[in-house]
This record gives sequence, C-alpha cells and structure tokens, in this order.
Amino acid sequence: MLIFFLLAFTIHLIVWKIKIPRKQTTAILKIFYGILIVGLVSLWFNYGNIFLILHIFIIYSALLAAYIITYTAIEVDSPSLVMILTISNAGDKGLKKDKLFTSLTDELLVIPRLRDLLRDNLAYLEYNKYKLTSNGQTFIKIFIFYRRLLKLPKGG
Amino acid sequence: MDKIIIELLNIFSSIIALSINVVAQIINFRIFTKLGLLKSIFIGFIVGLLSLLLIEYYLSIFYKVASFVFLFASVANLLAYTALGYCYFHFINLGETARRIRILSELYESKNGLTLNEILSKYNAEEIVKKRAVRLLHNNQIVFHEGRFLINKSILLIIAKTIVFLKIFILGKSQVDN
Repeated sequence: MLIFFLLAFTIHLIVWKIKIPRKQTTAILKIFYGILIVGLVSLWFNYGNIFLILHIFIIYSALLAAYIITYTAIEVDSPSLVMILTISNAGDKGLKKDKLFTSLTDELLVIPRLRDLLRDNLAYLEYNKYKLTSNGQTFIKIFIFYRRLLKLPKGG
Repeated sequence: MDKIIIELLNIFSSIIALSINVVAQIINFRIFTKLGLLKSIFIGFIVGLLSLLLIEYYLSIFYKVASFVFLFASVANLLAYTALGYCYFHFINLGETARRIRILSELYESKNGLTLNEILSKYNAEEIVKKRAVRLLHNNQIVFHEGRFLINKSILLIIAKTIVFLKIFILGKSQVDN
C-alpha cells in the first residue's frame, strides 16, 4: 500500500514539473486513485481476498485525504504564514502596523479565493453578481451545519 | 459469519474510532466550552484513539494465528486513524479560518448573490489581517512593541518556512497568490 502511495506521489511530482494542472486537487485524486486501482486489480488476481482489498482502499484513502488537506496549505498562501514571514523578514526592528495592513490587500487575500471558487465550480458569476452553484450550496451546508452544532460564529 | 464480522470490524476500525472522536469532541465542546475548541479536538482524538486500541485488543483475541499479519493490520489501522484525525482537525480549522468557506457562507446567506464590492464590504483584507494578528498575539507567536510587530515564538515561523520549502519543491515557486 505504501508502495502504491509512493509511486503515485512520484508521478504527481513528475507531472507537476512538466505542467501544474489547473485543477490541482482533481489531478491529484486521478493520479493517486489511478495507481491504487491498478494495484488493487493486481492484488485481486494474485490473492482474491476482498477484505484485504477493502482494507487497503480505506487506509490509502485516509492517507490521501491527509495529503490533500495538507496540499491546500501549499496550493494557496495562508495569510497567517505570510504575516509571520513578512514580520520575520523585517528583522530585529520589527514591522510597522500600517505597513503590515497595506502590504496585505484584497487583491492578495480575497480576489484569488473568489477566482478559486469559480474555477472549482462552487460559485458562478451572473450579471456581475457571485452566486453559489448547487455544488457550492451542498459544500457550504456541511460547514454551516457543523458550526451551528457547535454554536460557533462565522469564521474567516 | 463471526469471521466476516471480525474482518469488517478490523477493516472499519479506524472509521469507527474517528466517529467516536467526532462525537466526543462535539459533546466535550458543547458541555465544557471553557476548555476551548483546540482542547476539545485533542480530547476527542484521545478518546477515539483509546476506542481504536480497545477494538484492536478485542480483535487480538480472534487473530491467534498469523499474529504478524494482525500486528501489521493494527499498525495500518493506527496510521489510518491518525490520518483521519488530522483531516478532522483541518475540517474544523477550515470552518474557523478558511477564506473560501467564509465567502461561500456570505453567498449562502444572500438571496440574490453578491457583487464584488458587496462581498468586500462584508469580508475583506483588513478583517482577515486583524483577526489573524489578534490570534498570533494571543498565542504569543508575535508581540506588538512601540507600534511594531516582532516575532516571538518561532514555531509558526518554522512551519511557514517548511511550507515555503514545499511550495518551491512541488510548485517551483515560493508564493502562489500575487
């Protein structure tokens, strides 16, 4: 199972060096599950044990989910980490408060995320208004339900 | 039939443990709100882990033959549960901090959609930076002295530099949004 994962990761790196896909998460899923399917078919013909195959599928999926969720931190620039790096780069004298606020603008922090929502088909533009797609509605309902369960306010 | 149930228990043990983790975390947070979200996540993870160990112990009674195979499966289940627990932590974190989730929430609440200016009036860079600065100050990652921010603890700085390294390694650039 780890061999499948490492092989998929190697292919993922090679593909990224050639050209980074537009929809990166979808591409990662295709590569990793593609390798897994080939591996599981091979295991089936060698061992014919459905429990083993199911077990490997679940463990592999858990590891893949963990990788993808970590990858989102690589795919986008986290404002907190950008702030930390900006302050660190200012050195021992530190960074002025207004300099921090002026260096991190809507163009850097909000606009790219809106573009991501359009790209990922979670939102669409109609007459200059952003609206949710059905995918976007389903997706956000999960978070809203969970936050209401914990009585938490809006995040961000 | 018993053997099938045992096999299925072995296969789904990490998912069962995650479910217990989630329930424990929610109950803990709702009852002991003073503990905070992070501590409730940690407690939930420990409860789930203990449940997994209990399941594995129960299974060990049945896997008397080929015990090496059982040990390997147990380690794999532990790995899967850790990965799932990590995912759950990030799911909660996304709700707390992710900009896309916040934007989607604002769009969900609006009946006829929002223009760019309307979105920015509800959620913008100033709010994003302010919230994070407060959080970083509260966690002692940075300090504010004579009108300037300075690095205090280096943990987040190490994480930030690691992420930058991974960006360069995988994406070929240190910054994505520009």
